[in-house]
Amino acid sequence: MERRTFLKASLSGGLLLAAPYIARASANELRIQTWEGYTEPEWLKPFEEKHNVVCRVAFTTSDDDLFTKALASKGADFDVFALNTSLVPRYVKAGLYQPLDRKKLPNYENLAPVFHDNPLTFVDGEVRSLPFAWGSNPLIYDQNYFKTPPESWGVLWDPKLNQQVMMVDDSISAISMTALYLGFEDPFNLNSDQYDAIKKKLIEQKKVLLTYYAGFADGVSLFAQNSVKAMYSMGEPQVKSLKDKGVNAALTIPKEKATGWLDGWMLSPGCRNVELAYAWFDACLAKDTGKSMTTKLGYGNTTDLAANQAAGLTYADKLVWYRMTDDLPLRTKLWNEVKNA
Amino acid sequence: MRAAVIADPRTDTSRGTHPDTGPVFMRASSGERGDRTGSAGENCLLLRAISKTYGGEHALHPTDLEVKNGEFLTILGPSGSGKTTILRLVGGFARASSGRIVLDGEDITELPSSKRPCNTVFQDYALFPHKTAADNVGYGLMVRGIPAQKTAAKVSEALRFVGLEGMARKYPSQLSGGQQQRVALARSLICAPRVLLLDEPLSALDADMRRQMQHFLKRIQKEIRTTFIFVTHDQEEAITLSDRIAVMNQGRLEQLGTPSEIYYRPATHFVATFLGDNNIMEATVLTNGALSLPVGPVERPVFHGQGAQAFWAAIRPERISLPKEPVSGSINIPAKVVDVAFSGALTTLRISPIDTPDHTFMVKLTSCRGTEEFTTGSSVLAAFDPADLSFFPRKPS
Amino acid sequence: MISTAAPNESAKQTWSGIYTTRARAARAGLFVLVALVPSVLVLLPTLTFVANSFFVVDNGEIVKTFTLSNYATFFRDAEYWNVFINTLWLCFQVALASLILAYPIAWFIWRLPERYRYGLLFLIILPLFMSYVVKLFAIRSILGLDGFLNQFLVFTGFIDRPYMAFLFSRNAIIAAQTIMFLPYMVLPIFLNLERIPPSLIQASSDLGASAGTTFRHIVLPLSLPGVAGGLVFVFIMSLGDYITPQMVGGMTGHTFGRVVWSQFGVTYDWPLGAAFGVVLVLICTTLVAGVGLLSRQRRI
Repeated sequence: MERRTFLKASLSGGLLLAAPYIARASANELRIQTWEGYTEPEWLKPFEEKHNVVCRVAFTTSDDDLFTKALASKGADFDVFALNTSLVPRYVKAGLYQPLDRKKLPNYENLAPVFHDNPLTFVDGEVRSLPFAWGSNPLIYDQNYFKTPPESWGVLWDPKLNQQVMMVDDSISAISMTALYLGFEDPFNLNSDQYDAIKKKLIEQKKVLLTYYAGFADGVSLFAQNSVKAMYSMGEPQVKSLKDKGVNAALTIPKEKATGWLDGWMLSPGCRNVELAYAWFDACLAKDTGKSMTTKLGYGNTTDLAANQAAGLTYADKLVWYRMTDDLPLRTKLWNEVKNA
Repeated sequence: MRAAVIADPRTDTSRGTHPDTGPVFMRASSGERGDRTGSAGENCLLLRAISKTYGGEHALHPTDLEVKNGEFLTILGPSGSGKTTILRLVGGFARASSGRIVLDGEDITELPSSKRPCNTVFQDYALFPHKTAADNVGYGLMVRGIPAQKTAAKVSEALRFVGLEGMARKYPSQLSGGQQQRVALARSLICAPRVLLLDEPLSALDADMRRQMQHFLKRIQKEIRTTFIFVTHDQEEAITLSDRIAVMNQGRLEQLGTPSEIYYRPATHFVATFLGDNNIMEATVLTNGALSLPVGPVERPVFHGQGAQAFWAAIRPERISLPKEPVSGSINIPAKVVDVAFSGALTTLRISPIDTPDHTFMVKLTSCRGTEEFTTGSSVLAAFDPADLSFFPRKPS
Repeated sequence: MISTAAPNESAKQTWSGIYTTRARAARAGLFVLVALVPSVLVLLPTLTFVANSFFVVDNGEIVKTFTLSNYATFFRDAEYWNVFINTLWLCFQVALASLILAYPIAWFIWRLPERYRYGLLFLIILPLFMSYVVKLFAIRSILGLDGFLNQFLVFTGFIDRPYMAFLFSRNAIIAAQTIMFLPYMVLPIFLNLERIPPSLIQASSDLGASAGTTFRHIVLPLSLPGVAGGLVFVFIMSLGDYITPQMVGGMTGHTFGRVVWSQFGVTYDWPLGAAFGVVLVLICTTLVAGVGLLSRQRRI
């Protein structure tokens, strides 16, 4: 969750101040609670004009804030909201959602197969969320060193790359990636034997790691300054930042797969104008919207595969989407133990 | 290395109870420096054309000063007169801009303060706050590497000498001002300095303690015969304590002499007014060698500094009497009393001569039967002996 | 005379007594007013924090039942103890390194003529106006493999290829924190040195002590409160700083501060994090109190 926040924050240039707005009952108004970037003028303006409405947008600063806000007002503060789909069960459990009727969404069929019946958003025959944007935690490598992309996360354990590989300092990332590398089926649902194996593997990794990096920009500057050859990435935009610094960097999804994040729209239980909300959802599922977002912001979209292709975002089907885990304390403890070993 | 203090054990039997009568005799050893330690009366410290400038300003104009062996010399002057500068130059805390400092025939102008056989009692005492009285006193011996046992014995002697035998383990903050003063003194004297420099050491004490310490200093100096150079701005203190006084003003030495010379024969207008009260008149030399004063001529003046044309004449208020009849041989001045101030033992009057009413005189009388007869407006006759006049040069107006 | 004066005297005393009582009450009232805002802003969150440390998290929600289990976790789990002791040791090393570096600097500034003294002091303090993160990145770019130090050493021929050990080691943490916290050490020592009356130094010299002896017996002991203050400052700042170790310490950069942080930022186990925080605060308080007691005993 942290890296999601970080990614948005770095893209929005630190302007993530949730503007307090005055709720006003109005038929011509749509109240949108979202991460910055999902209400760009390219698709917001045409929507407003077409339906002759005003959209009131409030930006989310963190997953926790969003949940607290939704919980406090039972969803009455906004009509629609965007969130990380891994958190959908949390809202469902708290009753902070309305199931969606796909018949009212002509553009639903635009969704690529991998998103169309995604188990995070389409559960028990209910459409709970509409997949909208995605990204991944790929392996970033130096093309001057690797003539062909590394095939496995195993490069991050390779003794030949001693002091030239990096991992992010984050328990969820590290444990999930190692689980994938070790071939465990579900990196978000692990048993104690698997945890033991992961811990052992992560401690083993410390011998070859240069360092754990702390955040998006930190990883980029460390990679550039210390001739790092490969690292676990916090997201695709790190490649661009590295290239800006003159590093011949590229990303790959290793054969063991990689974790990915998927954001989607949900309908608030406090929605005042459900028709309008559906209209907004349908506009977001339009191929043009997906294309605009990918072109402008570099996120993967869920509808226009050609645009994804053009941006190199061809691997949505190789990702394991983030899901909630109920053993966060255990993971934190394990990670602290690894770092202290 | 300097010789350490030797406490004379004979005096142990007569140990007094009053702090001021601490009887331990302390004197500089004649040991290593014996050959160079002059006897009383000889010059001990010579300042030769010594001067100090700060950023072009003269804090001290080139000055000569000779300090005799074993004397109590006071440098007296108002603040900014250069008196402390002299002390700092002798102590080695400031570098002379010109001139030489010679101690016992040895030129010490370039010696650092740590190598000079002088010790200083600072105005703020400069006791080390983190050390006990005993450790403060023993500091000079400790830094010379004298064994702790020997130091301890000398320290307790020194403390007894200054009347602080019970205070060895106290810290400066636990001592009174007077006690701190004594520790500072003992700390300096234990190093057996050839010259002890005292920088206004009594200025922070209250009047009672101050008087007590004056006696104490005087007595100690008499006992140990160490040369003391004492800086003060208090003229009464200077007169009480000193063998000789050097009066400083605006970076210059105005006069050097015994207290009575300084008091009764001031060499300059400044000295005449700085020490005590004085009646000062313009005096002009007449062709016959006599002097003309506003209140009348003086036939055979007793004055030095022939050749000058213009003088000041000064008469001390206590040298003027108010007799019933004119006194022969004296200058008699009919006058009126302008003001009377009774201050116990003394009665101070201000009188205005009948002939020259603008030239008022201050008269100090010992209060006695008859003094109360003088009231404002009453007519009196003032008289003084011309021999009591002092003269000093005046720039002709 | 005396008999008539006495009642007056006592009346005056009573009046002044009433006056002082009133003044005292007024002053106390004023104090309460002035202290109210800071108390509410500082004390209240702290108390909430402490209270939190006695609660427990169940299913993502804080359950408000009194328990010592968080503290028990800390004392039972050798893992936390290890990091804790290791962190204290690191902070101590940083404080010591700062002292060794800062004392000569403070002393040097103190000995300068007055007109240069404050200018130089300002230069030393200047980095405090810089963002912490900027400094950290600057330090890292100097110490990095392609950084200035390596390039310089290769250029001058001291080493034949870039050398990694400047960064991502325990020494790198000590170096980086020492540089960053240096002003906090220089300042109290300098201010303490300035408080030493010049006459004490002169007196020491006057009594025959060389400059070295004067330093050992007078200057050094009298500057110890500043040293103690600086040590406490740097120690506590180092204890609170988990970013620097994380950023320059590599595999050795795991500190107790990071453990506390992970309870808040990742696990959402606020009670456990709060308990760890309380332990840290207690250690700091003990430290400050201990140093205070020590310096009082030494009468400095």
